[in-house]
Amino acid sequence: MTNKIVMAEVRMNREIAPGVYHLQMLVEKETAAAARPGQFLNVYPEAGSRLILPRPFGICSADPDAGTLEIVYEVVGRGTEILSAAGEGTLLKIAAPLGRGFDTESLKSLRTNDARPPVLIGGGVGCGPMLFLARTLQREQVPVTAVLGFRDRPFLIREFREAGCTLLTASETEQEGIFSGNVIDCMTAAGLSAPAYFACGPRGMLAAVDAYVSADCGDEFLQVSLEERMGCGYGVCVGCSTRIREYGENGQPQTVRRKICTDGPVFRGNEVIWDDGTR
Amino acid sequence: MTELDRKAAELGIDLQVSLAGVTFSNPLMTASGTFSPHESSQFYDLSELGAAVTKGVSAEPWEGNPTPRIAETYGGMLNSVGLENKGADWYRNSELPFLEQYDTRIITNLAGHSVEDYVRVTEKLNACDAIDLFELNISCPNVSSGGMAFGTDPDMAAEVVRAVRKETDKPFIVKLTPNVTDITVIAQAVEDAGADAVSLINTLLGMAVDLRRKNAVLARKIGGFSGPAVKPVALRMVWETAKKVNIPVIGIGGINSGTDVVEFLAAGASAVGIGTASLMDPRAMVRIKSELIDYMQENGFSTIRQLKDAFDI
Ligand SMILES: Cc1cc2nc3c(=O)[nH]c(=O)nc-3n(C[C@H](O)[C@H](O)[C@H](O)COP(=O)(O)OP(=O)(O)OC[C@H]3O[C@@H](n4cnc5c(N)ncnc54)[C@H](O)[C@@H]3O)c2cc1C
Ligand SMILES: Cc1cc2nc3c(=O)[nH]c(=O)nc-3n(C[C@H](O)[C@H](O)[C@H](O)COP(=O)(O)O)c2cc1C
Ligand code: FES
Repeated sequence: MTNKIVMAEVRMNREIAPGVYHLQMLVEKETAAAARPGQFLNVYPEAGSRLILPRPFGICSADPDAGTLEIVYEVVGRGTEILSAAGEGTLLKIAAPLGRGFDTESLKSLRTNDARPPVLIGGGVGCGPMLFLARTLQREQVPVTAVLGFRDRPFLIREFREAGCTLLTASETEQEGIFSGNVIDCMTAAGLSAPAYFACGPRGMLAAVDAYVSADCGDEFLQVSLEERMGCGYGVCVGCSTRIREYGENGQPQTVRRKICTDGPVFRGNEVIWDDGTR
Repeated sequence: MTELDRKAAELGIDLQVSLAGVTFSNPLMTASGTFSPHESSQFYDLSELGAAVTKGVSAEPWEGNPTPRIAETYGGMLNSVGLENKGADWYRNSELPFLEQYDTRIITNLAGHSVEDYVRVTEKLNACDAIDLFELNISCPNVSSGGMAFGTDPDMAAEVVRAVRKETDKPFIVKLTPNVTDITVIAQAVEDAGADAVSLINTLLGMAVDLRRKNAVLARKIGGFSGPAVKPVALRMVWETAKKVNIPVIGIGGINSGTDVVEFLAAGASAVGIGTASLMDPRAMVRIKSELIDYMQENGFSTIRQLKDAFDI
């Protein structure tokens, strides 16, 4: 039994754009070493806060040598507001890593036939998990194009540059020096084409990305990270269930129910039923 | 012997309880729908459990409700999962064999939309020796037919119990809904119809509004309310029911500490179920068990019987 529940010590918790925070925490080295891009962690509310359910956040960086994990989050309610006030040295109870992350193994066989860089697409705080993936691919010496979309001010730009990415940045409000519009407009304007795509962000953005990728290489080469309101984050409450199109051995699609927290959060584009009427 | 059983033994504490003719190593049970054998086993040794109560299972697979299914409220939560499950065959072939590796009692929670549904799922699972008891869920507020409808009408409750009684020699518990005027009336009806024990409470009906989306938080609008906030309601109902019926009562609702367990035992429960706490803390079952041992040690109780007898409520 691996102990996934650990106490993490806040090392840094900095506002990097209005209402958006970058938090680094110190954990056991094994915990950091176990984390893969696309996985998430649960932050448990402090007893006495009257909040009861864990808050899930995508892991945006893991350093096994330093024993650190990082997340990027937006303040949207009480839980994230309390988290934003956690100063250096604060102890957080977390469970990490959780869920199934991005499959990067399949990139290897893909790249022997097609050397064009894979594209990573992040929307808002969805850029966090993409940064972890970018850093991992940099270590594997895979060149990467990253498309980052923001509502307002961009963030994490320097980190993506340091991860060696070719960057396309878009904002829906006028921002100096960056594309004005959403990520799809930005990709279309750049005429982006690739053998594989990875994306994390709001569901609407992911659905649009799926349409774009379907028209390019086919959405079986797209991996997306989904979100849903969670009760437990580790597969016991079945709160986060979603309909998934699974392909059996004969290639015939079959609709099944899957848990986002343990079967995902990462799924392939052709598995997701975008208009499944559940939202 | 498990780590905590060793701790108890070293302190001369015996946590054993028995009900419906079955002995349990301790009074702590998971509450249905908040435990999944494989996933929970990643966080603690399932042999620490008095009983593993599994998620509601129906004769055929059920889809459940649309999402969002979860909402947080002040000190509690709402769920509208709607008994999504993969059906009795899957349960028998996948879930049970895994659970059997552990040294704990297995209680299988059964769901249905009609009397025939309950009978069919009982038939399908009755031959499984690994199952120690059934728990009949006639109290789920999240399905539109069956479920809670059976638990709010004493005649219908009795009818399901009689029908299931004919199908099985295994002892069974009937799980009751708090969404009634007088829960003891239903408890009495299922006792008379042949139930071996009752468990209560299932979730209270509740609702939450999302001001930003200008809609209810849950896709189904309403859902089942559980967690620390419901404890006083659950305790009151357990106390009332234990006074009224002769079969054992399993107390459930808002338990999140060793002293919460003590309160339920004091109010007349023979054992307890722990639900939402396992979402709040995946290791809640073992933490609470350890706290119960500490409480017994600090207060000089060496058996659950002694503890219960010390209270006169
Ligand atoms: C797998 C996964 C990864 C995520 N990664 C990130 C991330 O990297 N950065 C980030 O900023 N946010 C992320 N989120 C969303 C984040 O969990 C919520 O914004 C956060 O829980 C809100 O908590 P709150 O108390 O501030 O808000 P409240 O609205 O007060 O929360 C009330 C309840 O609703 C839940 N909730 C609210 N919004 C969401 C949501 N969008 N998704 C799931 N549950 C929600 C909360 O967990 C809580 O139980 C992720 C969600 C999931 C499911
Ligand atoms: C997510 C969730 C799913 C549940 N599913 C079931 C179920 O399948 N069958 C059942 O009898 N009760 C179910 N319940 C009710 C619990 O077993 C328990 O009776 C209730 O939550 C009160 O206890 P608690 O406050 O400790 O959670 C569920 C509760 C929750 C929170
Ligand atoms: S959040 Fe509980 S099963 Fe996924």
